[in-house]
Amino acid sequence: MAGAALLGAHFSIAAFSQAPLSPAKIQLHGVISGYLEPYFTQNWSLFAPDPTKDDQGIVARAKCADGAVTDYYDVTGPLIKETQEDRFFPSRTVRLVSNGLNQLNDSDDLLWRLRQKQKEENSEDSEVKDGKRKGEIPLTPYEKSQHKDAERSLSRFALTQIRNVCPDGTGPTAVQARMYIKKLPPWSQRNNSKAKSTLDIYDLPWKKAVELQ
Amino acid sequence: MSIMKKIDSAASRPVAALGVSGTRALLGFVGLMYYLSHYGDRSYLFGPGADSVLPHHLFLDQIREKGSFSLYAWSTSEVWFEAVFHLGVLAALAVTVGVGGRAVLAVHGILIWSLYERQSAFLDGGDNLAQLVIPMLLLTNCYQNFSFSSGVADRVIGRLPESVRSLGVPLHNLGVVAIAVQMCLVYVVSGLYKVQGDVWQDGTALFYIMRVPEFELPGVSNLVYNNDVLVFLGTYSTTLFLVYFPMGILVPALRPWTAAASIAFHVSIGVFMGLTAFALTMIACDLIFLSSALSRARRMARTIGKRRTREQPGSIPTVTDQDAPESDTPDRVPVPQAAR
Repeated sequence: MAGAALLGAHFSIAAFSQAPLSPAKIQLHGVISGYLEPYFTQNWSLFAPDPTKDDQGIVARAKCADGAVTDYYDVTGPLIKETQEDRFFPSRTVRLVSNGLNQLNDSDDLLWRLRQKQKEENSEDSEVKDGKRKGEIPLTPYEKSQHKDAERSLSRFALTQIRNVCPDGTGPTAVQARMYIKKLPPWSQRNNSKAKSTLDIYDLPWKKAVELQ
Repeated sequence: MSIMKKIDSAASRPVAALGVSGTRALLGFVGLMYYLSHYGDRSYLFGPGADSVLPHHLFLDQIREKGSFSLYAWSTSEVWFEAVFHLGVLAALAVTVGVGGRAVLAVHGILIWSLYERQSAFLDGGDNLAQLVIPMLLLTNCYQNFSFSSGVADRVIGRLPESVRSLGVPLHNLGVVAIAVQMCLVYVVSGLYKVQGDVWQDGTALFYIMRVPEFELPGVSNLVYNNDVLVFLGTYSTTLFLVYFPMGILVPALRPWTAAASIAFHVSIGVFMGLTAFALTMIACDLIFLSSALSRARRMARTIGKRRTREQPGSIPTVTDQDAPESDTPDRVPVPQAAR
């Protein structure tokens, strides 16, 4: 009986942690995460509510000891090919990229909602009285540090993948990763053979190799 | 049957003993393959050396921030790293083949947790589930089948006082129920989040997900995502299945069908999306709902096997106590069995 009661309590907390954002959840956040983290942490919003739709990845270029800058090398492509060719426990190395890319814009539910709301308000406002825009919510220290960490880990990963690209044999002195987001044609265009993907590019800053250690 | 009698019978008969042994073996195998599929790159991915993709000091920062624990955090020595890693391989292998009992399962749990924490960017829902289920498995009698017993455990248990020994079956059942509730939570939550998503509502989610190169099986996935009917049916049946999973499990007549549907669903995730470990972890946990079906299948296989051996003169068929029917529904067992 005691075991069943404990089990009930445990799963109530676990289930509550998976509920959508609510005032109650914000209020109890400390208690809930205090109990669940790190050993009972769980997240079951698998591919939901908005699954990944785009072909994302990074390419990277290096600066060599003589100051020359190399061409861009495809970092993600070969890893994806490897994953696609192996259906029996493929290596998970490609996740270092997808995880880093997600982390670049990592936020939390509440901030995300507030920003979304503000965006809507701003777009409504601009129709009525143009030019006047409410100040956007600045990035929080947490978001900034997540972004920085992601930049570092993506750059470091890129560096380890293009170590041998400098002609003189010594490793690159600096690396720059470029993120690409290829939006594939939407469902409505699936039968249109002329439909094209759109490409967004975002350059990460140059990182010195020594600072990535 | 009165409620008290029901509680009594639920506490005195082990449920899903065969299924839970299958869960243990398959989870061990998935863990083993996690080690082996990264074996060649272990130093790059998990090691303490200068060539590591996640330098050891940053890994320590992560651990500290999360308030977590990892054996790999204890030392920056290569020897320590290799020892812990290889011990992990052996423990996972032992759990898979059923050697060493629950003590080794606990060791495996600690070792695989340590490795997961070393490179947390690798983790997905399957690893998350394995982390949660291993402690629950420790409550259960998950070495009753598919295992080698040295007899040490039986001798230890034999020396325990009766009052402690009598806790074995209730604890086992508690562990099984915990896994069952966890699975329901996983499926219902992931189903309800899908209900809220635009592309899931539109019935086009499968089209979008299966095109993402990381989750694509070239030459095959396009046959599915270019077929409007398959995309719609696949998307909607996924959501419906996930949301109604607990109902399918609670109704005994639907239970094996629900579990079989879940296995089919996850086999296709494994094949089409390349998420082998995730798929097999989910299947491993679904096995607890399939004990009676597994038991029937095993008896059938034995009967066929015996018929074969009978055709060859000289060999005598043996009957073991493992031929006893297995049940995952305690209320339906007509004769009480002694707790083993």
